[in-house]
Amino acid sequence: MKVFVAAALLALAAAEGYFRLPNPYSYSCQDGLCVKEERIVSGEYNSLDKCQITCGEYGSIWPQPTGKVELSKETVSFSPLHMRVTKAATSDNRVARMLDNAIQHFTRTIHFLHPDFPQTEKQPLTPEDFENTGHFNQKFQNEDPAQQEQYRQRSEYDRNQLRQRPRYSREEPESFIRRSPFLRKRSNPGVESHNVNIEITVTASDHKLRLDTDESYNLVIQTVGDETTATILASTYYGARHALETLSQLIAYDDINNAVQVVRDAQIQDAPSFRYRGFMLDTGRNFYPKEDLMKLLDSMAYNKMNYFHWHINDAASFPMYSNRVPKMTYYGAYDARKVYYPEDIREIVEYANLRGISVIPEIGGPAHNAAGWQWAQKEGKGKLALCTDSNEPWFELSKEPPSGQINPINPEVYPILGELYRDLMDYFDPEMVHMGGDDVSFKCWQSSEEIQQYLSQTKRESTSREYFELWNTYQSSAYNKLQEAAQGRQVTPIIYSSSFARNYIDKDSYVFQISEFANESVIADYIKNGYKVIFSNQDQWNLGCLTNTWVGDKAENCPSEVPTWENFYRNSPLDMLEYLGVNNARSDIQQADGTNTKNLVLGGEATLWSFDTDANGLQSKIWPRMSAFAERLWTDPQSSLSGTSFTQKRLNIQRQRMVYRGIAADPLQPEFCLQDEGACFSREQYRARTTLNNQQ
Amino acid sequence: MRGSTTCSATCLLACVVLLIPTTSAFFSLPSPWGYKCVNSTCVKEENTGVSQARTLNFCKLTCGEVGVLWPRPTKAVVGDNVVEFIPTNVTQKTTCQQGVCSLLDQAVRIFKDNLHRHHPEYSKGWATWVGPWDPATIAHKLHLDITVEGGETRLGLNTDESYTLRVSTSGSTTTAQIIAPSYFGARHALETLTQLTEYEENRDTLMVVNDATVEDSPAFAYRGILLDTSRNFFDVKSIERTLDAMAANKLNTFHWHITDSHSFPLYLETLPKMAYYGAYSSRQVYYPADVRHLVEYGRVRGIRVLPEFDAPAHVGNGFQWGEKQGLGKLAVCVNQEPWQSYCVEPPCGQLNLANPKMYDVLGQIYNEMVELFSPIDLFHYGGDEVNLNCWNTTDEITSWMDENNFGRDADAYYNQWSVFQEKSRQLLTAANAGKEVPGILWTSHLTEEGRADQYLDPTKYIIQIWTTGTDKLIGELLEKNFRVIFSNYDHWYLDCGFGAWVGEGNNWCSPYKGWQAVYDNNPHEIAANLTGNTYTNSILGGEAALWSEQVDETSLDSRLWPRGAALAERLWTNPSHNWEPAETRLIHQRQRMVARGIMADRIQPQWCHQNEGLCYL
Repeated sequence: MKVFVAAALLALAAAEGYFRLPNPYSYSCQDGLCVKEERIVSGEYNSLDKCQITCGEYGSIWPQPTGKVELSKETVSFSPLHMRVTKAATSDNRVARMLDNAIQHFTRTIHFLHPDFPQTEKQPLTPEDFENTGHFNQKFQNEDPAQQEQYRQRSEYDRNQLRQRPRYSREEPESFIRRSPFLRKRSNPGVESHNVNIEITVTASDHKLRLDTDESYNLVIQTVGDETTATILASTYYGARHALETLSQLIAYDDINNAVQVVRDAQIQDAPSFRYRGFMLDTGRNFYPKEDLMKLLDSMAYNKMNYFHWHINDAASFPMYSNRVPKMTYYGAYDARKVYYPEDIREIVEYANLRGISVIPEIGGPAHNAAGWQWAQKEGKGKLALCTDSNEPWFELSKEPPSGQINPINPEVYPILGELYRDLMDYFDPEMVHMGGDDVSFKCWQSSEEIQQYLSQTKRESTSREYFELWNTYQSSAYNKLQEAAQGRQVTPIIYSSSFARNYIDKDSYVFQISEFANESVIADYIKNGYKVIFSNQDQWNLGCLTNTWVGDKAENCPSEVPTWENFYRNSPLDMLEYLGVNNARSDIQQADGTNTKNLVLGGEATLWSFDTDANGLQSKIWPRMSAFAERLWTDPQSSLSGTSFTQKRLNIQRQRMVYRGIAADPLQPEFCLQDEGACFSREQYRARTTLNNQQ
Repeated sequence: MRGSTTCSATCLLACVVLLIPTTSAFFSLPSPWGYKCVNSTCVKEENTGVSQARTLNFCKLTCGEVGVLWPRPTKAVVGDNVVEFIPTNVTQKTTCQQGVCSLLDQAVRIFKDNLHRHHPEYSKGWATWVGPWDPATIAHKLHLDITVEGGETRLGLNTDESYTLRVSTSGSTTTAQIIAPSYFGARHALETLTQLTEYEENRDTLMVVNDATVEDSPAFAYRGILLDTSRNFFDVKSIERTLDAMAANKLNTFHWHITDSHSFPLYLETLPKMAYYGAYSSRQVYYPADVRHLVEYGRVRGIRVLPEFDAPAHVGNGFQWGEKQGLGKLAVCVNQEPWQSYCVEPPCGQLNLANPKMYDVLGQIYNEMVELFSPIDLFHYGGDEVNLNCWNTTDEITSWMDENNFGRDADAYYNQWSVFQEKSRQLLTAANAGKEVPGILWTSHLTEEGRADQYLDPTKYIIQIWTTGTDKLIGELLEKNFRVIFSNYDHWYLDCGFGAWVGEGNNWCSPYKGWQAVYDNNPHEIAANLTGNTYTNSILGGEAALWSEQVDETSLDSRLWPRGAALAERLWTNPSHNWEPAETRLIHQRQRMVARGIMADRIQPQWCHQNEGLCYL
């Protein structure tokens, strides 16, 4: 009975822990989907990996490029050790240095493709790794000595930091490449002798991402004989970085040769549809260690997102170490380990920049303030934050516990805010600063004796109108402090949309973040009145509502259904504006007043309020839903979800790719659906597909 | 050197004070906050320096009736003071029978490792304990005095898991006296003792409650977590982590839904082609050594690893080889489309009742599973979601039904399904050397109104309930003397609340079951509501199920925990109250799991942990 399986063949399996036999399945590309078939021994073997990167108009590129895409159906195999940068043309030393880092980051992601690469070692590229492992950075001999010195000091600093932190069994830093499973022997000499050359040309010297940065790129892959050349042409570093991201998506593991394979020939022209493709993380309600933020930045870069809105503090905690007002941190941090020191922040900002991401810090107000402000009263400055007495029921004073709101009539508030803004300038050198402006509770000010006294002394009534005026006192004073701190640099403030914002805020000085639910009519008013906006519809683009039962067992402020990846994908700012009666929202036609809708809509931002999330659940909560969001903003596909199975298939692959890179993205489907594209369909999709097949 | 260069005129704190923290990259100043225990609640207040307030951990350990013990013991008196010690200073004396002693050695080793895990900088088996300590702390010893009376080394439904734990301090020794009828009780006692210790942040040491008495035993004998490793694969490390977290919560059954129609990740020595055709890849396979390792890993942690081979539905990929080998079709409707007509979710597949060779293979599968998981005290046959249309549209089966004059209506198929089930039971019993073990079956068409006792013998089968907690069927099963395990999906399905994975909208059992919903699901109450009787003897316990269509090893921990902890207290303690009084303890239990390396999800801002009772509804 037991002999019916060819035991000889399979005996090998258990010994090594893996089947030594070839995969029983092969894949063919049919109508843009990879179809699983049993492999015929004498027939050609196409692995799933190969099929995925070549099948369909866009292969597995995510987000889908907006320009021309041509991919050959063939791949060529090579060892990642034989991938070299043969040209990195830039006239700017700093850009050269940045490219060097991007190339190393790219190279690591290629090594991570090996299934045996230990998942725990897939960590962000630290400056230390960068210094110690660069086999590319020797190429740039014309390095500016000042820059070299700066980097030397940096890595020295970092090593000191490591030394200071007590650790056991710390491995000596060594090249991750020396640990790469791709070092194992390959039996195919053709693979061993194949070279991949990368040639990069960057024409501009931008080394800081701004809203007007040109992120477009051109990528050409050509294979002649045993040479494959990937040519990248971009005006800025940021475009070149995106091109490397796309190139990495045209490379997959090759299980037969213990190698990788790249699409043999390709041409891609690409540029984003929206300038602002952001993510907001709240580190005030729960703390995220620096390493987790760096991993987050990596994962955003994998999806070509470019703005990280850092909601640093909230009423619950103040984790930023302020050099100028250290007691904010002393009283406000959850504990001494849960602090972002200036060096940490600078490292994060620099790391983000290398990943093509600009960091927008937020110290918002007047609501969401309590932690950290306690010290001032002891030093005779009066109450800086009101409604922080825990004996009062929080629900009378704010949207959530803990309550707390800035005391706008205490003049001591503003110099301190000014100091905090100066810290922000020092640590972030930001292009924009978020000033908050959400959830202001008039009931809080109403309950405050100090405010009531002030109102009666100045002969005012306790009316909404007066509270708007108080809010305006706060906002205009804070704005002035911010501009003072900027010392002449142009720093654009961002504020959440509200009736206050519409009635009091100068549309030309601010950017407005729209948190209204999709299709609320007020959204159109912003555009009609010429406001510059970022879309953040909280019913579609809020990542935090998955388990939102943190106060009691009722979900608050969340839509009745959890936004799925389809919601994230479908929410189109321009379609929404068309629907709301903004004419020609999708065209370049100027409005009567000379504005252009597409210029007013900077882009969008997905948000995660950390009520019930910290670093443990972060990645799986945001990925891969935020990938769907990223494609909406990069590609802005005009038909919202046509051919869902094709989008779903690429999204499944993008999720898998992130997991290969050490990001704990959630699976959307059983792996069966990844391996058998189009098998997991709904009735509608099945009908659509059968009709399609019948037509052909 | 953080901050040291920044003490300029703007520096608002005395520079002297701030220079200390910067050298070590952390404040080494005591926290500005201290805690006082007021009405069983830790209240945060500013540390005046005059009366040394307690640290948060000190307060948590000693405040309230049971401090931060989880699950809450049956009876506990916890003292209001602590004594500090260095975790390397732990000694033990064990009184036990052979077999039990070697298990106890391992349990003590795990206990000691868990002590080190309290340290915030614990990493890979080591923590940095640097002090400075006073001589009394250095001299202080934690002594374990453990007595296990019985010789059981395998968990069974009748195992006595109770224990008593007495902690007392005299001079420079704190003694934890543990007495338990079985190893499993003693192991639980060590878990409880771990929860009477915490990290002391000002002196970088551990503290233990100096005086405590705990008498404890579980309310339910079966306290389980189901993991489905077929829809998506989970590596051995992630299953180990799950067992660790289960042990921390005194859960005792890891129900392993190994296979399904999607993939067959179990490597069988005699049927290697099952995994060859059925595994997602050659790396996503459980080899015999892996299974044996996990069974043992669980046993040491007080956990039965319960195998399920789901049949006759929920099979498919992996069975393709049969036809090639001349055995005919072992399974039918495999990957058949459109799937909506042949099964509940893609891909389809169901065993071929008309093929006698199918039973040969089934017997072989059982043989090997019994051996891998041996000795088994329970076996899960699956038995859910059979699609009659699959069988009734397969020529081979319809002609077999006709030839044997079985008929072709629904009842005819149910009859044949029950015949299949009886044959399966006999094959399993044969595989288990003739020794009968209770089988577990999911509620299904076979257990529907008026059917269960017609097809199934209540002395041989335990029914696992996955319908809602208001289903009349539950009452009927209890009244017909079936023993049951609760997994009603409206509270205990942990996969609910995400986007649908086929088509759009939210998945079928949405919304997400928050920890509160998990906690409040009370099997005795459900039984009483339906029948007027709590059926305490028939209700063996409960289990939270993590079906894995939309989860794999990357986010396993945050999906299971801390909701699994909420389940654990329901099943261990079965409190008469709802979730509310449990909240602050659960948050601490979650922190404890995180310290132990489980990536449990946050349920609230950390502020709520530091400000007990203020995140009320």
